[in-house]
Amino acid sequence: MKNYNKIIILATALLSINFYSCKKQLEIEPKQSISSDVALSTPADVQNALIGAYTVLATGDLYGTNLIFIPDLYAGDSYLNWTGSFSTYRDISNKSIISTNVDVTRTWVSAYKAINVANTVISALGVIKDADTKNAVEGKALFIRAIMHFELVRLYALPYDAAGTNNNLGVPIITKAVLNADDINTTTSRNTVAEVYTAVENDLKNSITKLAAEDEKYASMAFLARVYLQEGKYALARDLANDIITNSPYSLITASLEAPFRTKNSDEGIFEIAQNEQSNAGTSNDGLATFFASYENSTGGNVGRGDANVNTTFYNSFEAGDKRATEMIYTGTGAKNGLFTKKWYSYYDNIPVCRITEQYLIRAECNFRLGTAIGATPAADINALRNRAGLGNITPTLANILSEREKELDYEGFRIHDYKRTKRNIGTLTYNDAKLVFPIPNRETSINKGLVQNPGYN
Amino acid sequence: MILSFGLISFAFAQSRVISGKVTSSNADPIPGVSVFVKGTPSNGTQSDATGTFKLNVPENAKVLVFSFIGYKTKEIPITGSNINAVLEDEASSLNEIVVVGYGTQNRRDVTGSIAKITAADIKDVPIATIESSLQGKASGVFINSSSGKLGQALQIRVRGISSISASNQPLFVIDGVPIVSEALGTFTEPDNPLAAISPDDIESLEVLKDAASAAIYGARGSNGVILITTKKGKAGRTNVNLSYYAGFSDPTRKGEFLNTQQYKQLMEESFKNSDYDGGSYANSSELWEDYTGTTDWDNPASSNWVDAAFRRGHTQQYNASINGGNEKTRFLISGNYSNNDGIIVSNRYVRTGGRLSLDHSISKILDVGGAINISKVDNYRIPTDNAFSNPLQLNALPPIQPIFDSSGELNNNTVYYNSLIDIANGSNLSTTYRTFANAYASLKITPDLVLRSEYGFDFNNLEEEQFLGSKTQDGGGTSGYGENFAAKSINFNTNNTLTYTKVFAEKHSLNLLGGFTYQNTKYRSLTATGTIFPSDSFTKITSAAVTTGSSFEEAYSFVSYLARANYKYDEKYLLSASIRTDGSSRFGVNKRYGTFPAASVGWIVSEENFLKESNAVSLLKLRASYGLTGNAEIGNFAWRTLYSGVNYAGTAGTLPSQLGDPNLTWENTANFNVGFDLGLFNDRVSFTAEYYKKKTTDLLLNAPIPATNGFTTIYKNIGDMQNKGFELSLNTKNFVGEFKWSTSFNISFNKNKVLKLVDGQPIFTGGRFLGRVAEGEPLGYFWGKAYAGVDASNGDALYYVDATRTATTNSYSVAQDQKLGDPNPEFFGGLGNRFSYKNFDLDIQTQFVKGNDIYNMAGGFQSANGDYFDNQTLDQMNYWTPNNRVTNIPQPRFGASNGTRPSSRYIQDGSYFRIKSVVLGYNVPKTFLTKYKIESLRLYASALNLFTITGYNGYDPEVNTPASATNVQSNNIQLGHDFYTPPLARTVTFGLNIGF
Repeated sequence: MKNYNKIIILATALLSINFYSCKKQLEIEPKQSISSDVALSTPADVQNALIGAYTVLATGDLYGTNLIFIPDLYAGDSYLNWTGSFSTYRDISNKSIISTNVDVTRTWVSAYKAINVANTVISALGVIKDADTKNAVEGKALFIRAIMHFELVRLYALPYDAAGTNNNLGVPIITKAVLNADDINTTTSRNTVAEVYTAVENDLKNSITKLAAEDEKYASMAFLARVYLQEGKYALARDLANDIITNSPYSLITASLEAPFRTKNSDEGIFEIAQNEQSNAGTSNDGLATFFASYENSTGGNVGRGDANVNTTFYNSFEAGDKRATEMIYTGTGAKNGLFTKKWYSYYDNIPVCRITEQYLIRAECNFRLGTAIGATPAADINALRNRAGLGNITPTLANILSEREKELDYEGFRIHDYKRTKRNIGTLTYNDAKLVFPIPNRETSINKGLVQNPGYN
Repeated sequence: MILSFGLISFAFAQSRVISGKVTSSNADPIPGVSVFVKGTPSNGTQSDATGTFKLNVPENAKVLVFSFIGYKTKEIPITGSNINAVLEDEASSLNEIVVVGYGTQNRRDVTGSIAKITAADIKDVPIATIESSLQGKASGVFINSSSGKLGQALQIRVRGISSISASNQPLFVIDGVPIVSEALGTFTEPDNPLAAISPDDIESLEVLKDAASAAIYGARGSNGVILITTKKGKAGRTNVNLSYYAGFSDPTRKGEFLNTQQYKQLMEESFKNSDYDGGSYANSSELWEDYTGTTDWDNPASSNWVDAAFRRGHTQQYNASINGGNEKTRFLISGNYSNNDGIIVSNRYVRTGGRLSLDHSISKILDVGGAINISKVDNYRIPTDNAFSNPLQLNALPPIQPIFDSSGELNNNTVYYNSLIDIANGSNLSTTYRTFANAYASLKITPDLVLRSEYGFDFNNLEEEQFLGSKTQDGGGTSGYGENFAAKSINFNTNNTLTYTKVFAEKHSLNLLGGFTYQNTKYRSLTATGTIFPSDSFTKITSAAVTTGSSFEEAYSFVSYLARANYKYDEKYLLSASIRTDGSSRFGVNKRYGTFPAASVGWIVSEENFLKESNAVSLLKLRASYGLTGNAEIGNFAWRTLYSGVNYAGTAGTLPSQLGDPNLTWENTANFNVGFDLGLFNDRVSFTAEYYKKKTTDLLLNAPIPATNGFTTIYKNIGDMQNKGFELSLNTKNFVGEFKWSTSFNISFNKNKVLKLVDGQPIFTGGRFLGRVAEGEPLGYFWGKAYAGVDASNGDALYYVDATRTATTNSYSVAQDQKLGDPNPEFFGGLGNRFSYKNFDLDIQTQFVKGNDIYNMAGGFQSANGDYFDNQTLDQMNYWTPNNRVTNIPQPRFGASNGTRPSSRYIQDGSYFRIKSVVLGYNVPKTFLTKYKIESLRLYASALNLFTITGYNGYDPEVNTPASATNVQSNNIQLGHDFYTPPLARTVTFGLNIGF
């Protein structure tokens, strides 16, 4: 029995050592992420979150590909040909879209993700004590929220009618951040187009005020000018465009048409999406250069899939000697043959979303429509652009101005929006045809019964 | 090697001679049996070819021990000078020992549901990894190979699918250590964690299916537990075994596609019907040239791209093992080498491994021991099914495009990427080093009370190195692409148990277990990528001009307390109860610990007086069990709201990555099982029937939320699912004389139904996938548009307007979604027959699956009546024309998606019957061998996946393409989808086993 006692004591000792040393082991922290309770505790944290929002804008779901590519693909008749294998883009090109289309879904999802991050930043502003920093952060967050709502309402709702009441269903306006599980809302409904545009205008105006001391305000102004033009508020658009042209540090690069797309943070780029080798929208299945480019690089590899090529009818519509055709459109030598735009050429270039060229066109068009010459006559603005493209002067008509706009801003994501606001037909469809509007993604309408689907889709 | 015959006797006392004969239970003599006096194994001899032995034993010798591999060791008291021993076959003994959690139990006393496979069942079959041996042999266990790629993990489902968002793989326990079975690699298809263990090292595999058996594993037992026991040394003579096999393999089936002439005919029709792309071109030649940039339409080649993906595979394996020992120390050393060239080009798998197992009795009351298993696996993997570089996707390339261009290089101007370039201009190797080690000490505190302490380590080290040169699709645009990924997981486990066994008053037999276990697993990984290389001669990242890197770390732990009581009265009435409490770092801070009780009863009716003397009935047993198990495979930090670090072109930021719920906890499954075991005619017929019902509540669901919230999903415990089923297994020994024939048959029925979801919201990914989850339906049932054939008047594809399937429409978007099929089988099972006559034996194992629908996702590309440039399957030649109006293939119209969108057009019945393995062997007679001092020599021919009968037109009915690299929920829901998934291989091997 004595031996048993010793053994029992030994055994119990062994057991208890194991027992107590392990209890604390259940507290394990994640290493690559931080919990939300510590993620927004200092001003630096809030700045980090703002940068996070830009990364969402840079993905292929938004400005990295879709927001620039889709407006041109959708209105691609006699303009942009799609020869690729992705059926989602093929359906958009053919205007026979189903509500489960992956591109329709991912753009919606990411836009609202960016909106939520912007709202989160705004809700955490209390942490920043310095007034200037606080205003700068708030201004940028408001800018992101505004432009996302603007892009959403232009793609997922019937067009804004300058003369109408715009009571058509728009998209949900979200101004409250979802910070934890309790904030989830499953019954959000669609606001009207008018309400969305009003919210966008207000957010941009607030953004401009908050950013008064920063150059970033010009990005908000450039977008607001774009919004006003879409709404047909020509006077307001003209004045903002003039302000930017006159007062901002940005100016036309007359020596080269390609420079705004090759040089990062060029003189023309009022708002650019930053990319580099380690942070870009994609190099084989996503990204603007992936779809628009088709050439061989110096080591013989193919750059780009060449799935989106320039339609010959559009190419032939350029005047002889127009550098926008001779320098900016090339014959493909890589994966596919055909004509391709040189704007989207490298996977790692920045993407200029707003450039000063657009402001000149806005000023010219608005001056013409209103019969004014604020800042410069329409002819002066148009001819400045024509001269840069190696063409002579003209006395522009409205048709000329719209044509110049088409050629300057080709393949930069303007076409369908311009045709809708000028009420021109796209192919055989009228500008306000239901087929020219995206369906609300199926995943949204099936979870949220409060979201009404667009006509013609289920 | 051979123990010296015990003719030397020490003259401590007077000796006498004992002689006798050793036979097996069917009266055959067994030569080579070790016969020795208990306590002095050195004083022993061996039975000769006729089974006779003769041994000098001391006068005071009390007990004689008979021991031989494959038979239960027998001890017979020495009563006279003639002792005959009948040894029972280890595998078919009435008193078979079954491994249960944290212990072993007599098969008769088991009240739970446990299936067992032994080494004998998997002998000589050239399987790559052990769990594939379960296919068709264990009722209730559904194994799906998913694809023919070497080294890929198999999908294993024990009694149905229990979870939607958490993993459904069972828990794997090797010698008491729960191992890390998550794949370490970056490939979409998970690598196989059990690949490190050679099938020859396995002694037995037990599958714990119900609560009574699996609840002892608590929060990890819901998906079933697979206990793997490795071979250990045995006392007795030292045995040396060598084995070798070699063979070749081919795909079980290849698809049938069009040749050049058929292709041109179909595409001409298709181009013409679309007016050469809406009038943009005058003829097919121009259209082709503009779209593809080649003149292959006018100068067509005759390429067989389908065959280009395949090659004849080769396999060979070497194995050596030595085991032996005495009462004090027992050892086993083994080594193996296996080299497999797969049937898909560039796929290769090489494994080298070794094992050492050592058991030592320090004293009468203290045993220690351990084992260490090391292995290295080199796996030359192929890309995921969905990548353009998947060799199977070569079947999409038009036969008119040549494989090699005029300069002899691989053609780089094909409609889709020519993935052969990746193989010629790149490399891809995954190397895994894995070490399992465990050590134990077992102390008999009293003869009835045993304290056992085990420590186990599982180190898994994976390195993936990939290089793509400048001619490849992914490397070309960036002047080469190199990636190096290194991951390791370190798993430490300790089990400490106290077991008390006692028989009271002869009739009451009690076994009590109490214990504590702790497990901690750390995972770390490192990635480096490089682009812009000077030339293809430089393949290491250090030579790249632009490099990126990242590192990653995660960990989790479990702390558990367990207890179990088994009570048996009078060898007839059985009662068992267990309880386990688990705490884990994975569970939300509000719900850290869970408790999992279970209870079961059994009645061995055949021990009752009215049946005890029966000659017919050897076993009649009823049993029932009920209990709770859990599923903790919910990700390591799913309950937290997290922000991750992001890079905005050189500026760092943070981004919310996950919305969390602090109440998140494990999933609970309530398991009910009732079983009936019958043995007739001395177990010549044994039959088991079981009915079970499993209800899983608190299902972890990545509940979809509207994206307007900024997030698309949140993990919540919010669903219910049910599995009900029925299992039958029958084993008969039809003939037991010189000609032996035994049959084993098992069949399992399982019905899965989702009972509750978040607000009744169905989960449906859509896009290319048809799998859907909805209340009242089985998990993953197919949902979408129902194809209604072709409009005979114009060749339009038709769809049914609604679920009544009366009216049709040619508008895809007008057709309503409806239920299209179910990828879950109605039943599955296996039928095996073993024959032996004299020295020959033949083993045929078959398996079958019925009622599983398969959706060929690639159908919209390859059976698409010429919708794009993809090569089409042969059946598409029956396309609609004004002269061929009655057909199921719509009119070819280039680019118009006529009938090619996801629909039931591409769903087929995937039922199959497969002759899984056939082994024909010959055991060279002992009389011939003894002159060469060889103990045994066996020659055999073996075939795996020899023959398949199925109605499915695709490559293989046993397919499942993974839906996502990272999303467990997608992979659980998207079942039965085929997307260019490689077929299994039919392998024929010839081998020999020699024993010394």
